[in-house]
Amino acid sequence: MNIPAVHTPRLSLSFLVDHFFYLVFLLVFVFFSLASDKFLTVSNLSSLLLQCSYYGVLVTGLSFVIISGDFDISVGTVAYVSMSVGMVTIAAGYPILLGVALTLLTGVAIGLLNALIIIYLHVPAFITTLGVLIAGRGVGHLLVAEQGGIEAPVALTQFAQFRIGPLYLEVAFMLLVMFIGQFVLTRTAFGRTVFAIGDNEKSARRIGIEINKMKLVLFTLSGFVASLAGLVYVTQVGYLHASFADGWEFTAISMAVIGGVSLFGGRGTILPGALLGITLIVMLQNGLTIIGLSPYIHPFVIGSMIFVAILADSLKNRRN
Amino acid sequence: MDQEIRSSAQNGKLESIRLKAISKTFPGVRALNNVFMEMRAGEVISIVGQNGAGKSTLMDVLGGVIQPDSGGIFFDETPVVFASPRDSMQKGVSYIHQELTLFNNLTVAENVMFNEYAVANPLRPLDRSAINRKCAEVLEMIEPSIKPGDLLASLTVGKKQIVEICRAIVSGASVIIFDEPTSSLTLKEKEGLYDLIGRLKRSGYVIIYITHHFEEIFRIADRIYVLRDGENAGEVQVADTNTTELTKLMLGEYAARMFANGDTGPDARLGDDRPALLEVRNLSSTTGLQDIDFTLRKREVLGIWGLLGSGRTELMRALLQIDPLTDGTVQIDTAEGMVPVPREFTTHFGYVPENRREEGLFLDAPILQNTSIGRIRSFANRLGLVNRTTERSKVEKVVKDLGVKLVDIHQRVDNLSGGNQQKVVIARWLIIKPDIIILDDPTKGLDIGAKSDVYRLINELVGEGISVLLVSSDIDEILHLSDRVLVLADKQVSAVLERDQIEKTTLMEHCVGQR
Ligand SMILES: Nc1ncnc2c1ncn2[C@@H]1O[C@H](COP(=O)(O)OP(=O)(O)OP(=O)(O)O)[C@@H](O)[C@H]1O
Ligand SMILES: [Mg+2]
Repeated sequence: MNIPAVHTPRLSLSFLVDHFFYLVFLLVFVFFSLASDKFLTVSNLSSLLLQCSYYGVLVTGLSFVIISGDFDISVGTVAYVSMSVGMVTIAAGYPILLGVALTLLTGVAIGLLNALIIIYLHVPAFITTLGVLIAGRGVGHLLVAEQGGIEAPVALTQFAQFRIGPLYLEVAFMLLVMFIGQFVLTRTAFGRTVFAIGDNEKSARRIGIEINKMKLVLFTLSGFVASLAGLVYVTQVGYLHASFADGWEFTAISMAVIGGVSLFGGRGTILPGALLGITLIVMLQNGLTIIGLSPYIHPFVIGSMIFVAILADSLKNRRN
Repeated sequence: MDQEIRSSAQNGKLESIRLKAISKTFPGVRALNNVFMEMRAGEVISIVGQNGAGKSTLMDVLGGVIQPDSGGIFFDETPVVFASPRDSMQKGVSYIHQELTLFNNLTVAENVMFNEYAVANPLRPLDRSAINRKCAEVLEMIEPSIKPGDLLASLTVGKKQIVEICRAIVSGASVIIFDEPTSSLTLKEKEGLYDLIGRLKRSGYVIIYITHHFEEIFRIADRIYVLRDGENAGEVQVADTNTTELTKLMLGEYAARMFANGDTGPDARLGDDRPALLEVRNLSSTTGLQDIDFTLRKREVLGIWGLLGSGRTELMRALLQIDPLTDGTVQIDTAEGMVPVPREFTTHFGYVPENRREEGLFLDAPILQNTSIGRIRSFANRLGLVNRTTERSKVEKVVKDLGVKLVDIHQRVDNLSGGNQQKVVIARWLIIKPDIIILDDPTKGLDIGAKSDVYRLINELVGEGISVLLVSSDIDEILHLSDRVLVLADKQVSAVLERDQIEKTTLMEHCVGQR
């Protein structure tokens, strides 16, 4: 059977929808560079990337869950609770490594709890993780509120100081995590399976993919990664307080979606997609502050950006 | 009986539609090239062509779903432009898709009148009695056994389709397009649909009917347009043609000869007294199956025949442990003798489900991923890393063997024509060759050429030692391919027929059940 091959490259609506995001990214970057001479400096850009680093780690885990067609909105709480466990341990005089290990372990445990509730009690992931989001914060408060907050040890905060040239060590760490994430997502059987489930869960079942096993791994992974992101964050802020990692879930989901990870599942990339989404949001926060816009306007600008991204996502979905 | 079917919403009477020089190109594919077609009121036009010939695309143009790159549509010689399905609907075109577009949670009347109350004027308070009254008028003309107040979910597929036709008529349709409408209907429902189409035709509607079943064409159509590779390949009156000529027009002279020479019956195969591979004993399930007993032998095609609702699909789902069993055992012959089938069924089974879009495909993903995902681990090393070179070459080989019409394997599977999508689902299992392949209506939506490709493939698989469970609603397919046939009726086994007992009459006798 021969098919007449023809090429029709043209600037169509679908081209714009597909590449819209890159245009916006470029525009925002150019705009801030022109609007203020404090934006396009090595020190500002490298601290901007540093701010991205914990989000980068967080979004990597979350992207897996979203691409598989699910949600985990407990990630901020997971970071908070697991950090609390670790910090209380360290504050009580135990070794720092034990504190770090307990932090990560707590992340895994909460992720596992999410997964078990979703799988065995058949509670939708959104509701399950919403419950953990609310209840977990209470647990965290119980652990840290008495002290009114806990100072992070220098052994941890020094990590935020290391640099390789203008690049902070934590940015390199973020890139490594994201690279591994993207690699696993596209090059391994596991990653392919994640896409398959998010694309069509029924079809995935019919070819023998065990959805529950996958959910177990995905939510546990997301919990683990959230606690890892908490660790990266604490090295930067140096202090564990009651609103630690508050609201991360929605920021992180927005970043992923702006970067092209589909809310409907089955589509998206960590590199470059999610990374650009993260950078765009952080750049907006950073740039708007630099040009001296009232902080009350920031949420409006960022909210509009999220809205447009989600609109573009559903447009793409409708086209199919 | 033969009352005229009319609706007050119809504005004037449409005499003819003309499609002139329609062309449409998708990235990499010229789906339509200068296609011409003319239809007149009171005529049933059938469009035939191989999978990917452009039938659905042409109807999408007429239905306003897509816009052609060039060419024109003329209604009674007046040019019309359809920028959206809505435009086309307002000009009286109704498109009945294979997948019904009704709301299960609404009543029949609410569905039929949907465009009237919900779309035309969403803020007007709903006058239920008026809606029911108007709907009753239409149902009276078409199918009085359906009541306006019935919940849609309570109807059979055939009746739902009638509801969809009613909706078309109420919204003032004068042109009704059917795209493979009979694929999920029972024999009786099909007859009902043919009758209804006949009446619509005599009432002066333009009917366009797309199908791969020649017997349907000879039954209801007046004139046939043949498309091949996106171009007009012929126009014939049904009265002056036959299957051979149609096949030739569809496939081209050469391919048609190849088709006629292909031997695809089970007799072409060798070897009897094949050992048992799968033994099913006293199987009962939550879906109503009762005491099913049968044996599948090595290297055989076991046909599963029964009417719609007899438990065919349920049996396959139970074997795959999609629906839980309440009783009985399923054992498979392995190196360690007969053992219960493990929960991970894909170690032994490959499954081609009956509705490919919902249960078979990953529509966002390219052909490559759709094909390799069936046993993605077989392409991966111990760390789970996929070897993309072998993946690509194996996938390329199977899609070529199956003759999937594609631009390249990175094309999204959603952009393939219906028949080619089905081939991709089958291709998935050709890569891994499991012990048993379950095919649930595998040639649904396939053209005759592709059908014979699939038949040939089934034979090759069996030749390689694979057993096939073949469910089909096409009795000729069962007759043609099966070594033995398991007949189901009322979710029980009503007969197991050996090769020399398989005949149309016996199959029909057993499937109605002898209660
Ligand atoms: N949205 C799209 N993007 C790219 N290619 C497309 C798209 N829709 C259809 N095609 C291509 O156009 C050609 C015609 O497809 P079409 O669906 O009209 O075939 P068909 O005659 O209806 O086939 P079937 O009998 O299998 O339903 C095919 O090669 C198909 O792959
Ligand atoms: Mg089609």
